[in-house]
Amino acid sequence: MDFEDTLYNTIDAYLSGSLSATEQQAFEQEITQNPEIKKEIELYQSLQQHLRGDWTRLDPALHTEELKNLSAYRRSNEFVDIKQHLEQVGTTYFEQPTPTTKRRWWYYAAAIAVLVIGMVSVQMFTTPTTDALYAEYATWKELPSLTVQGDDATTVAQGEALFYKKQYREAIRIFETAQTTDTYPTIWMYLGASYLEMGNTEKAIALFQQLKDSNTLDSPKANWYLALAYLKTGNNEQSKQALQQLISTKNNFKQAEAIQLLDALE
Amino acid sequence: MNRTKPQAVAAETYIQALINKDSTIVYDIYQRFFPKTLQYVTQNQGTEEQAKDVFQESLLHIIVGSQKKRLTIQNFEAYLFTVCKNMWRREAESQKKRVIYSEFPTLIDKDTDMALFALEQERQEIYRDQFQLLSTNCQEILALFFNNTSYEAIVEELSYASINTARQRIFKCRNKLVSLIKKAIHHY
Repeated sequence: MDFEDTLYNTIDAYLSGSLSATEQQAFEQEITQNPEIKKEIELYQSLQQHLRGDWTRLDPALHTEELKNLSAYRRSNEFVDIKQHLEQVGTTYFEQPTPTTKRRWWYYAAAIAVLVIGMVSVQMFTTPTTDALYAEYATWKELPSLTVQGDDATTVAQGEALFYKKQYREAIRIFETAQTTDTYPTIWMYLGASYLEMGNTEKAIALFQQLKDSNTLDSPKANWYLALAYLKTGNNEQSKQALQQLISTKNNFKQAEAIQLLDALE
Repeated sequence: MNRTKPQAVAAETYIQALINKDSTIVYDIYQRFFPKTLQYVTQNQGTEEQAKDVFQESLLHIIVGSQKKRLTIQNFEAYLFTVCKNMWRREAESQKKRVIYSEFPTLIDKDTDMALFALEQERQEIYRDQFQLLSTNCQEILALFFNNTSYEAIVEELSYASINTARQRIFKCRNKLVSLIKKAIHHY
């Protein structure tokens, strides 16, 4: 779709902020009614960013279909497997002390050996211990992000970052303060997860129970976290109960994992 | 570096190793390429932890690109490092300023954000390639114009007869660029 030159001039003026208040209002009205104009503006703005040497920003609202497809692939089993393997090898690499040139091959060989032994032993034990099950299922990857687009500086976003850095004590301090002012159930999940990772199962269970009783959209998820918490305490029976409850709810959250885990516990 | 330059491994070998979970080659990727990213991120106000994250996400970006988009890479090391740099630049920029689009969702999950990064990276490559197709004169005048150089300065710098001639020239060049870009976007 091609627009007349005057439109381009208006876009220019709009982006540089040189429209009068009335003109700006009228133009914004026009934008809301015409998605094609939005795309033109995005193109102009991002091109300008590019030629200025800034990062090319796109508006996610104009690319919902593509974003949906790409993030669906990123959540597929195939991709998650590749990602986990990449991170696993990364852990081996990052944990090595910086080797000197002479010793490099030795560290390298040892690292691979450790990795291979690790992977083989995981596959060899057909009846994993509850500890292993906990480690396998408590990945916390499903926790919704608390990071607001373009802003990593908020307190809860810092808490989230600390959580993923496994600095649970610091994360807990932030989340404990945040939950008094903001009762967002997501914070309970992070807080409960942090306590659980620290080994404070009592506090974790209390928080997940609170989530379960909260009557929010996230309440049904509480059964999954309760199952993990009981698993960590070694209370397989209660873990199974929570899983059964989760499976019986008409909720898609963690259904496949719950069935697998229940299977492994039977 | 006092060792001899390692042979360039074909990009496809690395991509296949990532997809097929070949631990030996993936370890090799970390060993060969991570230090450069670490250096870049830490020299630009980042932490080692952030460098790791950027490095891993950049490798995942390459996988998504090769599986779901028509990404072809000539030189794995160069492309990987470009993506790492871009990802960190983007991250640093968004830490500085909030994005102004009104319809931005307030919360965006990591997978969607990385998918958005992939679209932005692709778009940037299109802009760069299409810009190269313009005449040298067009490239010069647009570079000046988009960097907020005044018309007066542009007239002087590029010896135009008048502000009006420069204005028309900018208009023509930009329309040419925009139409090239639209065609290229259509192609993807």
